[in-house]
Amino acid sequence: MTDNLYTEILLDEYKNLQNKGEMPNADLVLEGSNSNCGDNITIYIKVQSPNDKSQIKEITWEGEGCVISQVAVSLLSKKLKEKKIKIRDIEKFSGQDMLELLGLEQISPGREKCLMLGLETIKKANLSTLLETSL
Amino acid sequence: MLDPKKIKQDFPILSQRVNGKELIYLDNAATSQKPQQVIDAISDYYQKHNANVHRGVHTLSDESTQIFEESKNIISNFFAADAEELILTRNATEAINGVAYGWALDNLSAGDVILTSMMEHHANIVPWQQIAKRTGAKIKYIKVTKNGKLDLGDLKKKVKTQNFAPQHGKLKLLALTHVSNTLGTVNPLRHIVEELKIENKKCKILIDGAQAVPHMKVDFKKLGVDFYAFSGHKMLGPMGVGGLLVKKELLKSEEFKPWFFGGGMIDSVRVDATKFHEDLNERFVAGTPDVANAAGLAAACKYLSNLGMGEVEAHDKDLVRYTLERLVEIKEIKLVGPISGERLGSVAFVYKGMHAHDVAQVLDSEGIALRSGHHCCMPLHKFMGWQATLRVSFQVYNSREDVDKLILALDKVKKMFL
Repeated sequence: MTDNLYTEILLDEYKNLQNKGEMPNADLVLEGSNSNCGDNITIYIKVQSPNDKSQIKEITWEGEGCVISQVAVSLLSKKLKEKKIKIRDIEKFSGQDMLELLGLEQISPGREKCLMLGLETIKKANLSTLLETSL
Repeated sequence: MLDPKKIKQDFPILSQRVNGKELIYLDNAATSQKPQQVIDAISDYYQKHNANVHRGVHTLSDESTQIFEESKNIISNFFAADAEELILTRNATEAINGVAYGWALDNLSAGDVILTSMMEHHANIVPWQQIAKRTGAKIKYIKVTKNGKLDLGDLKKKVKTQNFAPQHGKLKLLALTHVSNTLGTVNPLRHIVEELKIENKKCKILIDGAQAVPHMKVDFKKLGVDFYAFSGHKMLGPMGVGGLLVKKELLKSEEFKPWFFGGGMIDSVRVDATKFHEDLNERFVAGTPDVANAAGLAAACKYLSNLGMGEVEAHDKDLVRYTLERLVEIKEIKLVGPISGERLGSVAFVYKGMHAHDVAQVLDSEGIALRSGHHCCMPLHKFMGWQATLRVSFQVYNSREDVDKLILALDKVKKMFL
């Protein structure tokens, strides 16, 4: 199980985390945490333009966590920046979608929260609605 | 000295393989494994003696009652307490809640002070926050020193009577752990009780003994505390049974009251009033008790007594000392808790540059079970500036070889991530 979990792809991702860092002029700042292990995450977002709030122009994140939670947020941030992606579609992501994003077949129940931390932060904040109403 | 290899044969679960490797179980502070003797006591009860206690006149009911009473005697003897001083609960958490609802709610009022510490398990913090909310009492926390010991200077300062002028209320309760589940620190209870009694004779003392009773002889009478809480499942007994030891005076004076109500604990019930059971102990047993688990816990007490608690303590101290020595050799590891002095049960550490969950997951692939996270001590982790820690914890079946295997497996972690 473990040897399948820490795949080479995953470990490579971990050594080259994408979009990590603070964004001083962010339009939105989302915070999430996992009380089980003390992991925390802050996601910074800048939207495309005032006329198109359904897409993200810039996204960065920072926080502390395990390999799974860090790689999951990194890959999620990459996905969110893709041109054709609508935030509403990402909000519909399931655990299975996250597993596919990480190239994993399964994860033990004890690590599900690690996998979902970034996605849950976005879902909980209701990002798409937030963008439409608060900006 | 104990022979852990021989002892291990009594624990059927430990003979299995995990992820193709021999299971090395080092998560005993979370829960211990159970010897065949405990498993047999429970299954014997259900196979041969099961019936409800006290209320029947038939043979099985008598047998069940006898087993229940005998079990309570064995358990209270284990703690050098009188049988009536033992109230069986589900676990240490329920025992602490018992002090909260059976004593604190009626005896604390606005401004009174509950003194606890920064090294407590959530079980000895959260109930007091609820009691504080309901009574208006305040909670104060004794600090922990940088090397993980209870700050005795701070304790002294906080119990000084002049700090509790009438307008600020009175110190009414000290709720403190005997052994920290994260730091491994053994608090010097004798010294603490003496100091406190000099300043404040009336202040009640509750000790959370969950991490002490599996590893050392606890003599309730000698300790001189008012309440002592413990869990059975950490001391080789079954899950779902533990206890609260209560000083007899508090039962006699009825200052400590039943906090669960219903059948069994009564003498007579009318539609408008109920008289509680005359017996100082029976009045705390509301509803059908868990007889099978009481028998299981009694079997665990017997098992530990047969090994000898002095031997058990020496064995545990040897493993703690050896683990500290071995872990110190690894430069990526930062040890948590006191390096010298009294400690028992566990060794926690931080692996620099690696998250605790990742380390624990890799160790699991090597068959090694240990805990990662905050171990229900979020305030302590925040206070010390740790995000999460790894913790190995011991029982009578662990050996130095288990620690050697841990050290080897930690090498795999290094190769994988760093």
